[in-house]
Amino acid sequence: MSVLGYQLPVYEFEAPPELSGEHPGPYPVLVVGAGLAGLTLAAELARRGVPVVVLEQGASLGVLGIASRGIAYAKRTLEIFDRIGIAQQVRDKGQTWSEGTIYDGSEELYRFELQPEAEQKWPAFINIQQFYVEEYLVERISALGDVDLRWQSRVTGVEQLGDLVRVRVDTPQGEYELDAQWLAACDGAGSAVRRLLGIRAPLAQLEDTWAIVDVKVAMPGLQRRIWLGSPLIEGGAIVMHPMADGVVRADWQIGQLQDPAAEIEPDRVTERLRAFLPDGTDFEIVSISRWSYRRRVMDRLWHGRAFFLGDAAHEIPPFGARGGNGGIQDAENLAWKLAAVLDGRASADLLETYAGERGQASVENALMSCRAQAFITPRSESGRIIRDAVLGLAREHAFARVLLNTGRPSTPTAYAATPLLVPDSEPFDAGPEPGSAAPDGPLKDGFLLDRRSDGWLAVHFPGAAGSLDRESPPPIEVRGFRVDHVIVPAGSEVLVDRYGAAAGATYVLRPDCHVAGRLRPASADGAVALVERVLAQADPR
Amino acid sequence: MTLRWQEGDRIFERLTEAAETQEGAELSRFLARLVFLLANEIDDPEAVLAAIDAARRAGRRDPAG
Repeated sequence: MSVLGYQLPVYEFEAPPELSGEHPGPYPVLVVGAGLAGLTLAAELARRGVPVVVLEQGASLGVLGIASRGIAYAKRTLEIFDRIGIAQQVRDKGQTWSEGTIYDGSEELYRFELQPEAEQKWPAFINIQQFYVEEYLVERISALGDVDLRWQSRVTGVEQLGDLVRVRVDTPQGEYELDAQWLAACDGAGSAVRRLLGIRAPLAQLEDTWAIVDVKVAMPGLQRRIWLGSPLIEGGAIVMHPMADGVVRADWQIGQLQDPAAEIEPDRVTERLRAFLPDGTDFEIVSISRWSYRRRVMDRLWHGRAFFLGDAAHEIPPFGARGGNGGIQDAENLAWKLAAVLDGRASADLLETYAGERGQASVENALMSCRAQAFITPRSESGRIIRDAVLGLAREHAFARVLLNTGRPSTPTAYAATPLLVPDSEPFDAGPEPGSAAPDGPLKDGFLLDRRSDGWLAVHFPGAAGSLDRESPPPIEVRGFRVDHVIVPAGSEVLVDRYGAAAGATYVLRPDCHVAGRLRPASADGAVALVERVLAQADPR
Repeated sequence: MTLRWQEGDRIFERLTEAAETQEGAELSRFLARLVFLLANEIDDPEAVLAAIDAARRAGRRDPAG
């Protein structure tokens, strides 16, 4: 289908060897679902040389045609995409933004900056239609090799068989079965894998319904805007985001007394847009959809040989952009652990940390997004009174502006109860705590996170009385994992400040760039010992 | 004291949940009780009086008006 020049790729079905009676499995990893989480996981595994089969029931990207869906890609996601090799494409195509404006009715109430710190490689957010990101990932996977991406392949059965998982697949040319050592269910909110395995996850249907409209319109300089209590839609909320190609994503709340189906008729949507946009603005509607937000978070993200990622694991409201970004971080978290287990560097015990860490992130993201939803769309008259009191105070009182919760922007979870960290043995006044995502910052030649390999990274800040040489020690192996060292050179004040390391310190970063631990003074031997200790804690075989 | 958003969100959520259990005029009585309890905690009558005056001035305009 082509709309306003948009033509999503259509992927042909190619008969796999199983339909010819061959059984080349068991495959190391089977990914179900070619959305953000599934494609990111496939790319991250392929980069590490792990062969992957991906099953996707559709013949194209996405499930809603050219609807933009997940549009806001956070800094952390961009760092992950950078390592995969698609971040620059996303930046070139998308709309970078870091400023948001909140309106009370039609009055501007507050403007905020998401990334006040300069000297960052990646911005706070880039907005781009999800199908572009998925297309870049498909292209990248194709270039990486090692991924057998099977379109038009619907999972109809899943069976746990001890050390294997057996999956039944329906295709245009018939059914077949394949076996895999591990299955990653990335098949979205209505996960077939979850249903076929009989796993229940409590679902909360949230009451409000939204119109979601992509519209091509010239609005130069547009960054994120949200109107609360807008008289243009009977006191509801409107959110606008710029995206690629001069397309704006406009979401607005459909009132409880309105007919949701009638509200998304093209004539009605056109009428609404004429009211929202400045008089005489020309626009063309690209897509219209309707969505009721839901909350469903699985209690446990690991069942037997199956892992759950993305919306299959956690379906949450979009406020704060924590859904898609959370799924991409799920994939990054699982990939290095699964690769290590498959090549014998670690036992399956390491995988338990995926369930623990990403389970914590799922709960945190659901809490944050549901709190924002309660602020944006109060559930009751009493709730609206409290919310409106905040709006009234925020006009004149700075303290009240921190209460304006239109979505706490997606940031990586600081893992707490995980064996993959060593708590501080002495107080640190500043810098990222163990479990936190490692901040990036400029080195003399590039950025710190450019120095990542697929292993561990010891970041040494020698300090004034540093005991380290100025030359980085050579990489070393610990339990089969590579540990690289980088010595932050003198003059890197921005990094020193972000790590609170003026007096000297070593930070040890995991392969997914969360801080495993830190020590003072800087020490290469101490870093190696810390990696050894962390791995022994998480995988005590 | 500077309110951080993390604490602010918890306070907003708890206050909203509590308010939603109050019907009609009970909500006003609940909020008045809350003010007196906080006044007692703050132990600074002048600050409380200033806050009451600020709250009166900060009444939100009717967005439809």
